[in-house]
Amino acid sequence: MKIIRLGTLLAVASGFALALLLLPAEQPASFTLPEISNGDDASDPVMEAAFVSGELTREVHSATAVELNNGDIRVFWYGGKREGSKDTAIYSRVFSNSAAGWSEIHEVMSRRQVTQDTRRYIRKLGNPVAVVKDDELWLFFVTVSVGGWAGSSINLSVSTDNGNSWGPVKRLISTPFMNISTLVRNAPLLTEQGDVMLPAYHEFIGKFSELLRIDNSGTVIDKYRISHGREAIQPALLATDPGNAIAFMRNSSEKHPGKLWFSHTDGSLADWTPLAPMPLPNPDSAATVVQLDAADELLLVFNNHPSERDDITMAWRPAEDADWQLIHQFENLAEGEKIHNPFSYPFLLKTSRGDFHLFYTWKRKYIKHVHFNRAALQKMRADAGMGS
Amino acid sequence: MISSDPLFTGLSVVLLCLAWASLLLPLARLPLALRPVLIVGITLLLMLPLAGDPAWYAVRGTFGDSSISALLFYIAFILQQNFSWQLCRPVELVLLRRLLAVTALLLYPFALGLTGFDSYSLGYANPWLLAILFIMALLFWWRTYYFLAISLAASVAAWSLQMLESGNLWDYLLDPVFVVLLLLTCMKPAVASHQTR
Repeated sequence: MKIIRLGTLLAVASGFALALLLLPAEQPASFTLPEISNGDDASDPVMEAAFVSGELTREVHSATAVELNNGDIRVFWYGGKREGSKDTAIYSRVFSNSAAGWSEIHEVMSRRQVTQDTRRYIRKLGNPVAVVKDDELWLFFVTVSVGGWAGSSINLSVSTDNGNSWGPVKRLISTPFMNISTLVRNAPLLTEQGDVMLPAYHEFIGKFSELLRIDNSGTVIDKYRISHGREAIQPALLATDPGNAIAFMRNSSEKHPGKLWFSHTDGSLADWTPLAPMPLPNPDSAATVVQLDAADELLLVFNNHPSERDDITMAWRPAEDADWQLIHQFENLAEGEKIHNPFSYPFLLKTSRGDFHLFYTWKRKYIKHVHFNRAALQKMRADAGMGS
Repeated sequence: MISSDPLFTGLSVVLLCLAWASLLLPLARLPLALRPVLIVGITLLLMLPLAGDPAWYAVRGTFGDSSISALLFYIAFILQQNFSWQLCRPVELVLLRRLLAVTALLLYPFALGLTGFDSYSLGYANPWLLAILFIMALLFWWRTYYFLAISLAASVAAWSLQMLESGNLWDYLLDPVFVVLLLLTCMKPAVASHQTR
């Protein structure tokens, strides 16, 4: 009996000594701030629009894009017979700045591959988001094993060749409740410590936004709650300085329908201000935002309606204390036309050269791409009576 | 990371299913010689392909991974239910049930967004949580609750070695499926009969 007693004590001491020895030192996260590029205002306005998703699948949704290290733009989206059908896969293609233009579309992630890599039954695939981290391209995407989107989990695959091939899929563990109901929609940020800050949201019982901090091995090492309750999802995150960020969120609330939510950190990533409704409307739909010439000069693309996704509109805010100005409408449903959610899930990418790539779901059939430069943006502002 | 090893993940799903089978099926009424056969049968069933993949992929996809504490308890529970080998004493079982019920109440509602506070985030490299668990482990040892003390130490050691996919200590200590099974054991007459032995 004494041997058991002594052995147990030794086991307890060893287990905790090991934990103490391997306990990682706390490193407060500080954002890597993107370079603010003014672009080339002097060139002629360029604005080109095209459908980029082809005819491979009957329905497509939730496009996202990333600028690769070589300056090319890689876009991802998911498609299938319909949203949530078993044949959904994630597709991608590359927009080259050279004369090559758009590459062929290829499937980068299938249900079959995720099932085999994660050793879990996967029923459907959903929203992808990507980030370039050093020489690697990290692709986060949603999968569901059981039920609807509230049963989602996040997965990660890494490419070392700009997305031509992908490493094994890894499951991210982000909640203690059977790891269900964490989703992604908007682009991650990077930290000086080499971690990825992934804006995520939860949909089962609670509907709220949070930030996942992910280390080099693709493991969630911390999380910060942006909101709680059942009000705000799909945070679009921007760093305002190394220790602070702002988030714009889709309004999924029943109490205050129709307005985009906004929150900002109060000196620490763990400390977010209460949700504040913006003056801009929101029909419970995703929005996207980028910074222009200063951290507080913003371009936001959204559905400019409190209840319908009938348009895709861009708003500009010149400074933190300035009002939002509507400067361009990319889509507007023709009068008399009746389609459920015709335009949704915009994703705006600002490149290191200072031009813009906007992607959004067009009548669920196509992903539409609009490429415009700084001169075109200048013209939009002038046309809207804003000047520069 | 052991969790990426198919043997470990497959085995943990087998243990989960055997524990539930031991709880829900009257295995204890079978002749002793038949019980190992049934256990092997359930294990083989989980290995059979279902829609092209082993059936245990479906179980894992639905319920997620078991915590380390759960796996240790499942081993003890399967042995206790089917072979009357007692690794976890009745008094430890009662204490474990109460502790996990309270922990689950403090963890899951907050993780599901009840307030701005997320108790789950305390599981990321929090020295205070470790200190509390260490004191608990010492108390268990002092009260001769050796199964609980070892379970706690093993969970903490597994977390520090990142043996599961999760980087959060809570995921090594408990999981919802474990909590439900543990709470249901108090309604299992077979457990009560073993408790009196």
